Amino acid sequence: MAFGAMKLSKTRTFLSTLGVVIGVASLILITSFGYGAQASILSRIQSMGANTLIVTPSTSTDVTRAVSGESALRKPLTYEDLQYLKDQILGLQASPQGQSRTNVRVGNNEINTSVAGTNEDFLTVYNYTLAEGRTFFLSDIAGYKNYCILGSTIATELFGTESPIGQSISLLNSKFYVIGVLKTVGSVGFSNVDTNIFVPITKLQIITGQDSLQGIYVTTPSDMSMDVLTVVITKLLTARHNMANFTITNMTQFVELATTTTDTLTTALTIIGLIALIVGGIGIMNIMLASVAERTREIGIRKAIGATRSDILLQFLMEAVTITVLGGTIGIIIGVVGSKFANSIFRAVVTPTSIIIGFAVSVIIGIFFGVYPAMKASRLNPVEALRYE
Amino acid sequence: MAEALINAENLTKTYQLGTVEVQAVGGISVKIKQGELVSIVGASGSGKSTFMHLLGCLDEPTSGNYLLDGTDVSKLKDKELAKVRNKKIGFVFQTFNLLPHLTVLENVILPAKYDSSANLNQVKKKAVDLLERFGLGKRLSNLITQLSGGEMQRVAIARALINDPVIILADEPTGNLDSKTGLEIIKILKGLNRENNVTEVIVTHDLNITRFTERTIKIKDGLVESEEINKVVEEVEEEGE
Repeated sequence: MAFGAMKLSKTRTFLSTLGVVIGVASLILITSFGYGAQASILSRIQSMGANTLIVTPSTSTDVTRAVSGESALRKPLTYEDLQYLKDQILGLQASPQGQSRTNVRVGNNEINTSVAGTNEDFLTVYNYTLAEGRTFFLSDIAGYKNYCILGSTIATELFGTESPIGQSISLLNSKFYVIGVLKTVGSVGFSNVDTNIFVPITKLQIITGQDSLQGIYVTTPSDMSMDVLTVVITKLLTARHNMANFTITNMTQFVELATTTTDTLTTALTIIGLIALIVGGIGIMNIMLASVAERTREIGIRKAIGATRSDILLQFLMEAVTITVLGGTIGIIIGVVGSKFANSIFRAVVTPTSIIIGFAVSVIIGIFFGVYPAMKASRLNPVEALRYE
Repeated sequence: MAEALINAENLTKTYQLGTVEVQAVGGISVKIKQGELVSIVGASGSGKSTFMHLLGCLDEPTSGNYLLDGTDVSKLKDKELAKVRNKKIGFVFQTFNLLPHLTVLENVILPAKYDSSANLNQVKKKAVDLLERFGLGKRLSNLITQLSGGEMQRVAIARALINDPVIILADEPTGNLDSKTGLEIIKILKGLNRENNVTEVIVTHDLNITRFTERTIKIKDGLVESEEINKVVEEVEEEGE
């Protein structure tokens, strides 16, 4: 009996179901991106440890810098700044942060991936582990050596099951030798460590001609508190730059920021998904109202042969719910497939909860937007309905 | 004396059309016994259709009493009226009123779907028997739209009988049929009345139909104008006789 509405107008049914499909698919994708992004950022941050500070170039405009021509030319954060901090603070570990995209080639195999300039502290500061080979020595960095360390995924993509150690790759029109491979890390928000290639920051800067860093990650020495370290770094760099053109963030603040951002993002996108659902639901309501009007005679006949108001109400409600659940199921499938597909770029986690929510939501939309047309149908006067042309 | 199956006392029906009150039925009393074949005639607008709606519990009377098979249906609420329509009354309409997207068989068993006590297997068997009796045994899975007018009315009669009603109410059953097909339908209705003792009320404006019934009630301006017992009740002639 529930297929009556669908048989009457397949196009109309398809279009209004589409609204529900999009709404539910959005909800699934959104919640899985939201969970994924949050989970990956948090796990990465937690693995890095609570005594990490990030020094980043300040983005606020500095009027005096613009006026004084000399300082306008100076880059905000440099590798020299990093070395200076290490010299001044005993026990400080610091590593550059930042990457750019480029092509790497081994034989005929060319892959577009990201390259990061780094130094001898990067394993401890970022809490990475070596799968094979060795890390960079200070002498490699100071000596502008053309060595590289590969992320686990890019290593497999370039060399398969072979050990990459000692092999050469072509990167930025230069030859680099592989000295190490990292263990799998997983993706962190919008970057994927496993597809990174790490090279000495010094060598990278010579090749690219750029000497500014996107950031400096430091690990607090054991005999100092994070707050003290923040003060010390601030003093040192301000003196060195003649201005405070940098920001220091600690991990707690970063976690809060990241969580707030993803929460806001998730909430905003969920609202968009809900709007899509409401639009779809209104479409369903319209199609059901049209269906009731077209089938006025039929309703009269059913009542004449013994259908009660509840029989008619239930019949049309079931039709609405069937349409929305069908749309919802398609939406869930699209959402799950889309999340798995997107997981290679962004981290996206499909939880059983999101699927249950998607299903429940489509039932609720069906009932909510179907009840008004169903009530209209049930309340039709049989005599008038039978006369309807 | 047998109790009247239908005992309608002073039924009235008044409609509110804007500010004007229209009295379609002004006070009709009718008694119909089990097994009778009665016709109700009247011109268009005489109130005969409204009266039939009252008899069929499709509408509630403004005043009066209506006892159907011992139950006072004039005081029943919507849900109970639906039950009465389902179990006690079988409708046959001028425009057949079958569901076009269902098959012949599905149409006939439809009333049973609204009867919680029905055994669907038994009902299906009964439907097949009825349809075979009416010559439609080979058309069970055809859609209604593939049938002729006469065939559709036969399906409608089968549907009307499926729940073993106490009365068949036929509203202009031959109105949309040519005269030959119309007579076939009357023959079927008479056959049911004669062989199965089915009580039938046929509402019509066609005086030709009335000669096949035992009693004719004439309605005019919402009231009973006359009641005639037909001394000679005609049978439908076979072709070539």
